[in-house]
Amino acid sequence: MTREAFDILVRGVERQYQGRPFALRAKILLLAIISYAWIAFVPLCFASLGGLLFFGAGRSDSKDAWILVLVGVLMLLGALLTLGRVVWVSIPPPEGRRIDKREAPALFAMLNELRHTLKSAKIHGVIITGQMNAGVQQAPRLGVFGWSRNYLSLGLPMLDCLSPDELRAVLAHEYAHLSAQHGRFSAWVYRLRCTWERLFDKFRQQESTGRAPKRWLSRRFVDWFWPRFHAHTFVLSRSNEYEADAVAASVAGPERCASSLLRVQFYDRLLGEKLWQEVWLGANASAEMPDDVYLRIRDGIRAGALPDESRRWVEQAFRTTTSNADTHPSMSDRLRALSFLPADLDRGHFPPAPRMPVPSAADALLGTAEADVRKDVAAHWKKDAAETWAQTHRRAGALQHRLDSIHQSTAHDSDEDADSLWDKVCVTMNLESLAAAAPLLQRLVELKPDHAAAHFQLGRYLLENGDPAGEASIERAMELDDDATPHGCENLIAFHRSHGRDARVRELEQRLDRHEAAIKASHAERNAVSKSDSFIAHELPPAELQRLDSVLRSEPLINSAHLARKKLVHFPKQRVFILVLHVRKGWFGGAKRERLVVQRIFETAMLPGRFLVVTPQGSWRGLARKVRAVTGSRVYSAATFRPAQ
Amino acid sequence: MPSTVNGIGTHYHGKDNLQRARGVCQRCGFEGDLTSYDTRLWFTVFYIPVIPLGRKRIINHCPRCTYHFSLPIDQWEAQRQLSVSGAEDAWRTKATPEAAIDLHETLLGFQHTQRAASVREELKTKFQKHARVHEYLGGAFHRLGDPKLGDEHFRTAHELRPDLPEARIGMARKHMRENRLDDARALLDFLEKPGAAQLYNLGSLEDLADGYQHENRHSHALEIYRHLLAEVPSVGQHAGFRNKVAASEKALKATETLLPKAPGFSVRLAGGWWRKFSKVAALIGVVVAGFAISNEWIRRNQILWIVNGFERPLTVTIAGGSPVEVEPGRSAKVRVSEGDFSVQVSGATTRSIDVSLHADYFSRWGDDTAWVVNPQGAAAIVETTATYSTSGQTPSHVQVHYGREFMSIEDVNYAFRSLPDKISMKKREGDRLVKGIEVYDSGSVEMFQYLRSKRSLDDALKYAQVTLMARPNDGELLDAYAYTAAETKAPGFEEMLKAGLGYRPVSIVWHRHYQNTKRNTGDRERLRAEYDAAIGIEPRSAELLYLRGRLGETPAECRAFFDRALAIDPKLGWALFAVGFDAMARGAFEEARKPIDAAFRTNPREKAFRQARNSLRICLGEIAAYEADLRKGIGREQRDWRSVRELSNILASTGRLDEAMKVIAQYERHADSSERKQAAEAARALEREAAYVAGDLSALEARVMSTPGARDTPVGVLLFLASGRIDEASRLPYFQQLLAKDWHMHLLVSLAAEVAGDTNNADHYRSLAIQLMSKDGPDEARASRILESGENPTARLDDVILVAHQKAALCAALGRKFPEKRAAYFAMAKKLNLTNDLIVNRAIKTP
Repeated sequence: MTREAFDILVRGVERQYQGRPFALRAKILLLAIISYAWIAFVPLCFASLGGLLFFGAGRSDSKDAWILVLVGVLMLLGALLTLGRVVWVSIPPPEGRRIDKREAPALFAMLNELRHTLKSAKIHGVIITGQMNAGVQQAPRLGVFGWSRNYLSLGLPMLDCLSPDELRAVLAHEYAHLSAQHGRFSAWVYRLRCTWERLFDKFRQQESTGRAPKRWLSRRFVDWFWPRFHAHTFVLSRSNEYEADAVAASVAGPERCASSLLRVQFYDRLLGEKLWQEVWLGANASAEMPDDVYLRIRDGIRAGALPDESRRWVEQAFRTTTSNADTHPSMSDRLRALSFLPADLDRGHFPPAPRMPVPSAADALLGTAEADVRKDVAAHWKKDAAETWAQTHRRAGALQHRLDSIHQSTAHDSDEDADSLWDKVCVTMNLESLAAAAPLLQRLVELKPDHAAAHFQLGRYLLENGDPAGEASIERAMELDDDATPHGCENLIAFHRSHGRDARVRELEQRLDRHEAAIKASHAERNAVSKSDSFIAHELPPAELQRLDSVLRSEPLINSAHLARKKLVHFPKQRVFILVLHVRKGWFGGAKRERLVVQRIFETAMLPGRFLVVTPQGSWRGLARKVRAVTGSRVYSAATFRPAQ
Repeated sequence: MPSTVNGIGTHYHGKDNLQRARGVCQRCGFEGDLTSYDTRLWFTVFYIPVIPLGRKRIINHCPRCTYHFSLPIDQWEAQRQLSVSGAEDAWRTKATPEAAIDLHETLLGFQHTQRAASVREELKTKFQKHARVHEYLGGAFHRLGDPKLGDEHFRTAHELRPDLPEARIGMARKHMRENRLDDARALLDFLEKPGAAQLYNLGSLEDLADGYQHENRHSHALEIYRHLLAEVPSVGQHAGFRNKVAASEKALKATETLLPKAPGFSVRLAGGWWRKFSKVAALIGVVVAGFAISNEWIRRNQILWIVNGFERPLTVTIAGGSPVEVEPGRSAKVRVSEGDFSVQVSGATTRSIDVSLHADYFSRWGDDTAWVVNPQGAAAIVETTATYSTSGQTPSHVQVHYGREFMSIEDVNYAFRSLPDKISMKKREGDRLVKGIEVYDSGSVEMFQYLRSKRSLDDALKYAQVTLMARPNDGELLDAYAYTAAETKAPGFEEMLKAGLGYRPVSIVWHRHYQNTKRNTGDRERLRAEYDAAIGIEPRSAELLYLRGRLGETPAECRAFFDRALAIDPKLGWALFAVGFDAMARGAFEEARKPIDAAFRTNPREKAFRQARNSLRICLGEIAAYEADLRKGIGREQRDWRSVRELSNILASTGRLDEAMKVIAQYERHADSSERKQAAEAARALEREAAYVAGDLSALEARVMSTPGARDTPVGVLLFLASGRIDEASRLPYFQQLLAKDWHMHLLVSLAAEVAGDTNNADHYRSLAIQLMSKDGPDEARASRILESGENPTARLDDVILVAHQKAALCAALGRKFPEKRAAYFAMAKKLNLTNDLIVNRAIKTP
């Protein structure tokens, strides 16, 4: 299903179940039952067969009845195994530094108070992670049968960037997810969606490896079911987010909710686009991982962003629109729902970037345990990232060597130097950053204006820095190289979404859908010709026709020739010609003679596009008949040019 | 790929537009010239192309393993033209190195070698200063088998861009081929930088290390191997790599290895091709394990059947297991593990039976072999193979097993269970053979007769011997056996009987048969001495006294022993029978009644007692009561042939032939469907006998003449004799059988001849009868003397103790010989002619 079709589906579900949450849940339940019925169909068939065999063995007097029992046992085992694999969805608890009441009494007091206020489910564990995020995760101990343990994961950077009241709003939002209103059902739906997502990915992989045709029926069902289920659960999850926001606002106040949303958005960008990049640049220089990475992060948060960056990120945070790629609505929509969206955004008046709160939630709620927690979270990060860090460091060494050798060996102003310049760009991008490679990219596109990859990377750099000129570079790259279209469109979609240009986003998504659909079909379309295709007039210019005529005239055995073009649905600018030759018959060796004539004409014709030269023999007879039927297809007749005959 | 079986199948014929190109076979890895050509696929019969199945393009045919791709020729042609023309168009339009390289690759892919060469020239001239183009051409020439040109291009590329990794690798490879390894290493220095594996393929570096190793420069080789291990740690698990490192370390006599610990078996299995098949292999493993477990289970739980052919229960113990009791005539099953072991039997017999129970491994599944232990081989096991079809069950084959202590019978569906009347079959199933085995628990005499008639005399005798050893009290079988064995002079008969003499308590039936074998041999004196000696040892043995009485020379002597026996055991049936029999032989029927009845009560199943009692009832005129008893018995068992015979004969002898015929017809009607034919034959024989007894010769003759084969039967012979047609009777084969050593029959023939006026035959057969009588027992000898002498023998006739019908014939003969005492003799003959023999009757009635 294309993005556009999915968007339409989601909008349809939203309209249909507007204000009818129970109906939506009922529909999801129905879809879930259908899914389980489908999943259980094969195991149940196996189990039934196994049962029948047992029954048969019980009724049989034969000594060989044990074979039936054995096969029956195997079938039942297979059924149990298959069913077990389907229903046993394992969701491990989140990884991180577990914290308890003794270490952070203030935090747990806040959690306790919220739990009682919201009458929410118990939290079995609080885990501090290194993410800029907070969330509640349910880890079922019995697979689909439930009996979950609830874990609250809190990102240390988030604790650093939020005030205690703002954190309370965030926690209230998460507790709302666990409340009786949509706790268990949503969690169950979430788990089921995980299962189906995995299944769907598996089928997509099989399709890409060419194994899908064997499971045609399964694929058809998944193709039908998954988008529908996904759309309904998507709408439910999104409505849950709004509900959770409303609950949080009622507990912590809308102001706190709003400020926490903006702060999380802003500092997420600071972390992603600046602080973590700085940390990882360290891997190029040092093989040793820093021990104080989360102290650096905290200090970076305290230092804040440059004014230019701050302005850009705040603007992008407000301009970003809701997409169907994420169940969370955009910040603007959430603020609007809380009736806390600033009034004059349309006129370009955005609020200032938030400042580091004093005290932060980490300072206030972790108390004396903060240092230990920060150290342990850093240790977790070091453990998780050690291999990647080492690889990055080693790779940097090799890249540096490569860069040095390029510097030593290349001349500068020749056309061929573009090649080494591109090599330099690639190494610089990998070694440092896209920004560091930007001057080289500028020089490269000047040196070689048709370098698609250079245009693409330059466009990407400009878009990341909020420069609309980047769009022209991406478009140029897509024009030069069709293969650049998917990534080009994705970059443009992200850019326009962050600027709130929904119409342009939709337009690009449609373009991406069209491209993805066409890319496969067009390959087949351009590389095969048959009589079932449609043909149109060749539309060759006179000069080309004249040249073709002279080529045909050089072959005395050709009586006449017809030329037509295959009508292409995808990429119609490309051309596929069919040239049908009518070769004089001889007594002996006719087939071989025809083949030689065809080969000679093929080698010399040089038509502007792909072309196929055939004679009306064998399976080409029908094709030749269709080409002859195209008006104006006759491009050569021997009688015309050989008056002696 | 086409294939043929015995020349029938599909095959390519013809080879046109042949092209060769260097390449690597995707299946077997062969590196060399792969061929592509046009051909035609044919359906062949004995390799002769018969039906064309279409033209094909064979692509990259491997000369070693014949693997290739195949496309319909038109499809291939379309792809070729469209791909090549598309690449040509792109090259004409853009004229970039990338487009040229793409065109060159497409042309090589479709074997357009000439055009590819021209493209290479264009590349060279148009992009002289383009290092990547030269690097590409270097690689292309190497692939095309021209390394010299390839190396030139690599050199140009390296000159233009000394940093270009591919050019450096190409040059390094050239140096390696020229054995300039250090120069090559200098060029590949970038591959020895940490992290190089993340940017480049380190294959050429490994080749360089291999080159160093080949040149015995192991320290250099190990340096590179160490770097490879640091960059790609997983290579340390590769067997080939490990071998190379180990070889260099061995050459340097290194004490430490740089190799990581060798992977375990499970790790090795987890990777590689095995992983792809692990699920299938696991499934196969589970199935194979299941079969192996089931096989072992069957091996450990074979069923051993124990059958009991004795009269008392058997107790069986196997390998110290718990004892199993088997009732007489029954079977019991015991689960045992396969192997050699002994079965301990106690109870009715005590013995140890060695058993070797082994089944083939694969035959255990679906094996229906029945393993049977049959102590002393005493039980007869009937193996019945029946054919089941929609029309019902038909026994197709019956086999009887006996005499073997341990045996296996294959393909048994119903072990020691009756075959079912019906089985469920598939719809389209025709017939099904089903085999069952059962312990034979019916009359042993019937089995004996069955074996004699259906198998062989030896089988029947062996069965009787085996059965009598286990059940010595089976008097009927002993009678049948003794009669048959004596008649056929079966070897071992006497030894068999002697074995029975030792049974205690004394088995009278065995002794009687033993004495019978001796009574005609002239060994009577020795026989008497044997019994006298036995009595000396066991003076209080009533049985021995009775048996000794049977050997007495005179009735008085006999009677003295019988009385002594009865004095010790007044209920000794045989002694009572002997006393009663004497009285009957004298015609003193009233006197005989008491001892005969007493004897009958001691053992009603004893044939001799029963017959004597029945005869006595006829003699005493208790025909109505006897008839009622017979009818009562027949009412209980409609198919009791003996009772039907006796009743029909009584009815016929008392002038109620029609009633006799009804009784016989009723018998025939009640026969089973499987026995109907035999029952009909038996009924016809009974009818003829009844007609003979009734004296209705014309009716009898009509029946005999209308029935094929009826002439040559006892009744047929008797018919002719009674009708006075002696010559006609004597021509029948059965006549001689009847006469064989039977003085009574000779005497009857003599009487018949005499009645018919054939004095020659009468004298002849009488003299033969006298001869035979004189060689028989003392009573017969006395009778012969009476018959031979001319004096009046009436007073001495009481000393002749014979069976009633024999004595009747003797009296008739004496009556005809001594006219003066005819009335007395004829009266006695008439009295004793219980069977209403026509010849005797006619001898009495005819002057």
